[in-house]
Amino acid sequence: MSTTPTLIERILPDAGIVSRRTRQEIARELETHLEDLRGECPAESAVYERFGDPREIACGFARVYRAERLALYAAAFCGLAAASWGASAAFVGAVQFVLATMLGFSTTQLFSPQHLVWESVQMAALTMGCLGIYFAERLFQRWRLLKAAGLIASIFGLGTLMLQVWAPGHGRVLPMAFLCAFLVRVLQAAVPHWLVWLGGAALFGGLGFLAAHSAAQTLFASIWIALAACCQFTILMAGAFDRHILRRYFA
Amino acid sequence: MTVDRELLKGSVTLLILKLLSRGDMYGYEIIQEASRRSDNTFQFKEGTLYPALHQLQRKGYLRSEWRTADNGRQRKYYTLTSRGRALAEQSHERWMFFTNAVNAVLSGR
Repeated sequence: MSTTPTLIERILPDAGIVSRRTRQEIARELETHLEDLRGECPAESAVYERFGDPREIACGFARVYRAERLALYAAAFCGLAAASWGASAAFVGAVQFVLATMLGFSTTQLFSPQHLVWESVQMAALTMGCLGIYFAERLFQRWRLLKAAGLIASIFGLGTLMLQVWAPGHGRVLPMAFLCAFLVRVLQAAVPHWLVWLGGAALFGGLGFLAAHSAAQTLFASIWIALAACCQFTILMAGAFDRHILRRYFA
Repeated sequence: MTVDRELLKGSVTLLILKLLSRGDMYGYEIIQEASRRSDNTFQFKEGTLYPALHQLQRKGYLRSEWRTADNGRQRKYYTLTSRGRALAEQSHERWMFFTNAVNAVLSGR
């Protein structure tokens, strides 16, 4: 049996090379080397011995092509954040519009340019809070969720101070977004299956509607459920990002 | 006597650059030439040569192209660029300076 495909198959996936062309080029080059090596020493064990540890070679290539991987990571993360933010903002906006129309609120007031700007900021903060906690968890070995939340809370705290200086009175947008993201992450950790969790949120929302004494309370209860659903959606997107980008290129 | 792996790692770039300053070569040929010139002293793990070659190429010190070798097979040949040539000279000078200093200490002059 030829050692060539086995060795190369062990090197390339771990090298995390983004460009398919580069992967093919490296595979071809290593194949030619192994071809020469096999001509010199027919024993497979000798070929393995002289060629070296596939993990070490893969690590070498991973270091060489790190910049492309980081660029891909940054682009994919920005895409993920933008898609999550856009989808969440559209969903919350739609929920607001439907409920405001049903409950007889003025949509002109509800969707004023200033309101929309701050709502967009809040949705962006919510998205970054969810993604931040999700990805920061892997920086720690123990007490991951708490430590990640602490780290992101510090960043959001700094952001709150800056926002308060830049736009007085609007600083609370960030802590509220962080709190929502954190609570959703805690719920997700406690109830791993997202359908179970969404069922719980729906039940909670249903009870909220029954208990609501005014139209405004109903509107707010619905919007919070919508925000929670958005957090869930963002985390699902992050999971897909994890599977398709991170595990493939950054394992 | 075998050469310490870490010591060899640090000098791989210099060895590649100096070998290629004598002519274009492909990976396997570089290994063979290094081994031959050093009387089999330099026997590093052959696969680890390629990340080093790719790194040098990305930094603009080498360029490569597929050509037909003497055995009639296609091989990827590496060539020194003008920057690579300059780096080879510079690295050689540094190496000589370093080894002279180490030798001076070891000989107790």
